[in-house]
Amino acid sequence: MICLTVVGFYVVLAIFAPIVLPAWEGSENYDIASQSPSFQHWLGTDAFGRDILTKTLLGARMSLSIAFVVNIIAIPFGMLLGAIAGYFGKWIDDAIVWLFTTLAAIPGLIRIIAIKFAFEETVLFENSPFEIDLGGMVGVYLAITMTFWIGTCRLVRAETMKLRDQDFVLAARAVGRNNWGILTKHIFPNVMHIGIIQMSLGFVGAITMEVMIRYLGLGGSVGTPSWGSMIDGGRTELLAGRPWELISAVVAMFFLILALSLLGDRLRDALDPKLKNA
Amino acid sequence: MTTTYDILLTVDDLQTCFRTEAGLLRAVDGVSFEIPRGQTFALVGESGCGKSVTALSILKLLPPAGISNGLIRLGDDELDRLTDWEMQPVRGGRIGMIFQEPMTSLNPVFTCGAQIVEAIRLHRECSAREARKHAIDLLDQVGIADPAQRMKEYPHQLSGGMRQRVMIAMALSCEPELLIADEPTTALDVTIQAQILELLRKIQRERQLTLLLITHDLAVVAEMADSVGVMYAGTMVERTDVKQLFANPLHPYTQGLFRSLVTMEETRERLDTIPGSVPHLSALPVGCPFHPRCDKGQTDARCATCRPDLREVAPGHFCACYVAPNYDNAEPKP
Repeated sequence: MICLTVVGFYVVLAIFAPIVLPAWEGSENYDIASQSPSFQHWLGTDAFGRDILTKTLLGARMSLSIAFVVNIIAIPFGMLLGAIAGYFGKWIDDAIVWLFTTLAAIPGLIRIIAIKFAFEETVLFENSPFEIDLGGMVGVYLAITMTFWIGTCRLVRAETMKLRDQDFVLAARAVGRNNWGILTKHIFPNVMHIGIIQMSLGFVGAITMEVMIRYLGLGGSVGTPSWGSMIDGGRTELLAGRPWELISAVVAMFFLILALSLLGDRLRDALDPKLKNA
Repeated sequence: MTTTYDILLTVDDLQTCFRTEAGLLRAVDGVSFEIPRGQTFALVGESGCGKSVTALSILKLLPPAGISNGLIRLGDDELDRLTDWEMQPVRGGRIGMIFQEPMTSLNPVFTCGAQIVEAIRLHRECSAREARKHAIDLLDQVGIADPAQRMKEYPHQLSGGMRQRVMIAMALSCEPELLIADEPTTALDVTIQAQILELLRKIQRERQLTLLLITHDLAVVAEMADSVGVMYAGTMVERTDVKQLFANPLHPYTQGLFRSLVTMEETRERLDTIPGSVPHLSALPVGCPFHPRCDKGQTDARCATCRPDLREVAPGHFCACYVAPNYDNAEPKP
């Protein structure tokens, strides 16, 4: 329960941070650059004189929103493809397995960087109100999403292959259900736990991935606050004897990741019937 | 004799093969029978002789590797000509099926009630409330105490007998004309078996249901069936009404089955067995599939060379054995 509370706390902070905190854009003030914690700036200021507390909270917002968007898209997508592959088998299975093994054959970070660079110059719906610049944050979302469905797809596929030959699937066919009905009414509810567990673990993966990408300076403008760019910027501050920025980002990330990991473990214990007696 | 009845199900020359790595396996080879409306036909045989595959072929529920061929007629409709899509209203709507293993044939993540309601609403336009009411009625009819409470329970909360009753309720939910019961009592203990058989008989009486009963238990056959088909290695070796079969079994395999039964009247040191084991489908012997195990010991030269077909050796009594009396004079079945 503690982990759920911590995660909830982060979510509330992430949602309300921009409302409560002073404006971030254009808050650079070189007069107060690189200060230690004080009553005006609880966690000090960075090299541009911006409040580190604000930066950390906006970083949480960034991390959580990426993790949320990525998982909301990737996990159901992986479950759907996995269930279809496992249920129908034959060439459909071959095609889907080929797709994810090919993607999975490239090491994770390199794959994301490659996808990121491939879309660098791409702008969808240019000059329309729905203009999407794939070179910016959307590119990062897309790159992480395109790799995050694979694990779920694998697990769901294997589980579906097991369920497919169960008597209750045959019984469902014997009362006149069609394939789609069996997939949605009988297979999906039986693999739902995998999706939930994968989602909680996927949050951890997506957050660390986002931090890594931003630390490497990929995706988004430099000004956008993120834990990854804070750690990157905090490095130089640290050499000058001011660890505040680095510490804030790392500590904030530490507790969120820890809470999410524990939550994932607890969910798995509660939902996975095979581990119940272990 | 059967022609005076209204025939509900006709299966003629059903062939079912499975594509495997060892080649094409004939699980069912030329099985024919018909069931008059309101009667019970039992398919008897050892494990792996093609009883269940016959049932699945009727419903077109074979696994992807299976191919089946032959005439299957339900009432006036030729099921073998229907596509999978056209079969869906037939499954559950006109033919209900009960499976052997009640432990696994219910979906573990839904309540029993939800599953019966689902089966009802698949074939009928009705509100959830009506379907629920109907489901409670059905559970009551299959002898489940406190049906409203049981509706809310998950399969794991019920015993094997109860689950089989739920399966029966589900199979009956859309008032099918034909009920296929694939070894409905095999997984249950003896007292529950008797209850389930009694229930099936009661339902059959009340609803004029036609029953295709698949079993390996001759006692169940004696209790339930009007006529019987005995299967061996994918072929039907003997078919007749139940009294004939028990009074005068003609095929050596059927005779062997009867000899291996335990009776209360006599005491024996050892039970009789049929020597050898069922041949694998990929290595069927040439000629009569039963001849290597047959105690008539290949008295006829054709036993080991040519497979006997099913012939009417006595009125209403079909047998596929050269040694059976009157076999050579009988007309091959048209």
